[in-house]
Amino acid sequence: MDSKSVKLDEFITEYRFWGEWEVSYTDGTHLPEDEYVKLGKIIIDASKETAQNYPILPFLFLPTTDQEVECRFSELIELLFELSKEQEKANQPDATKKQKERVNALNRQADTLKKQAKKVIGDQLADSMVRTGLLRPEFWLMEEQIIKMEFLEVMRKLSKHVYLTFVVDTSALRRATISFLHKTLSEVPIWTVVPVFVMTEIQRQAHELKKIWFSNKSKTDLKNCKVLGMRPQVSVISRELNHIRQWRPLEMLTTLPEHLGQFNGISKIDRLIIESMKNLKRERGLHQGVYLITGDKDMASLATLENQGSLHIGVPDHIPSKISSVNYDSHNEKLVLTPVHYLLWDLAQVFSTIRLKNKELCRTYELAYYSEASGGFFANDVMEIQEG
Amino acid sequence: MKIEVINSEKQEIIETYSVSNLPMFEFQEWQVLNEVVIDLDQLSVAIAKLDSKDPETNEPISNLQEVDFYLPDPIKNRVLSQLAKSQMDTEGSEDQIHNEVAERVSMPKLKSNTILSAVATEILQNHQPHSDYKVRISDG
Repeated sequence: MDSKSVKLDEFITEYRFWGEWEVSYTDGTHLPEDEYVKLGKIIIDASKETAQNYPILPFLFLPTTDQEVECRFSELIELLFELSKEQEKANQPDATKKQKERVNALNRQADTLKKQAKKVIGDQLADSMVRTGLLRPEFWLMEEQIIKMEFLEVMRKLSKHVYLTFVVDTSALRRATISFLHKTLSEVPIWTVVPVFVMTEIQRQAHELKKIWFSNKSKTDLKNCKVLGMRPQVSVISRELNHIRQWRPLEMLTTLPEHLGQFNGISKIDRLIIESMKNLKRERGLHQGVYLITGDKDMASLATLENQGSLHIGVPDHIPSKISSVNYDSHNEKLVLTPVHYLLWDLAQVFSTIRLKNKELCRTYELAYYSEASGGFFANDVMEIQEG
Repeated sequence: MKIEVINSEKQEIIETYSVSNLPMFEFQEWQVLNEVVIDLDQLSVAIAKLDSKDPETNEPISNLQEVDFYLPDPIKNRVLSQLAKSQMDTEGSEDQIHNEVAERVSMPKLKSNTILSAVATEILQNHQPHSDYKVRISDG
């Protein structure tokens, strides 16, 4: 199969999708070669002719269920752990206590792994759907001891400001909050401020990811499925920063070099971000329209306690079994359509290699973002596509 | 179509949603009605049951609808420019072709029940469950 490197806009204009597609992923850090895990199904109710005229068509996304992930990981665990062989030995009448204990330990390990995989895949699918507009994020606006939770109320309150300054942490960038707010509050100028501590955190995660990638070349370890939670901290955040930078003001709020070496641990980074926000307001005489955006409820509450406005962004608890790509934006009274390409792009940035399979059309695509070739270039938003 | 969320006890309108190009008669159950009132907590169930098929062709009713693409603006603009470039062999100035392409791709055919479901999902996300809340649907 020939591979081609494309950017997101090229992917949308050059590749047309119609019919039913199964989406699955593989990842060299924790899955054996040629083993795929299903992520969901995409249904595009259109003909080839319609797809030629309308490159962006409505679709339905049916995300994989927890049970499906658990079953698949049971198969993979058997494949890698040789659990069934050990179980057979332990069931023999002459089995030793040691053999039985080993099977119990393996079963416990397998259960932990299945739970870990189920959680990380579910969380990442939900985050992907929020980032690509399939699911609307939940907002809590906390200001002057008042919490507003209704979307329209929050948007109306924010849109009353002449301009808005958003100080973001890594979770806000990871959930592509600024892109969402630029779209929804298009009438208000938005200034995005990224404290340097956020960038150091991204740098740390990039280093960790690289370590896992290179240390894992010789053997597959399912425990490494934790990379699915780490990867968006690098790939998705870089994409979000690149997008903002291209058309809206983005400021990296730096600090004295001696302060950079003085932190370790998440809570200290949170404190430094809140302090950066206070300094920014003090130094520039900003009194209104400055908000900390975070996906961390505790951090948002803490900032509010210290008289700083904050906006908590959350992912809906309940993920429907069928999600439509057509949504209604009640703040702007318009219909919004997510391109299927955008969802696939995002999934590949999180899950490394995505396989799309249409049995009826006998067509397969493989989208690789974090392959060995592009692993080090997360700031360059390019995908490798293979058609089969 | 106009969809109002009302507090039936206080007789007050909480929020009004208007959806252009979606008349009530596109749904067979509502064809002869001027107004429909549904409990807010029954909205998604009621909408899921609606039949929006053309009685003659038995095909779902679809309309060309203007949509905004959920893409960052620079990407959206590049997509439209590239699509326009691929049509450059057709007659007309560059700007004219660009506008025509942008207009065409931003007006896909959407099924009536897909649109109404999208609005219902938004309404349910915007209002906390409340026993006194009802939804009044009319052509407004």
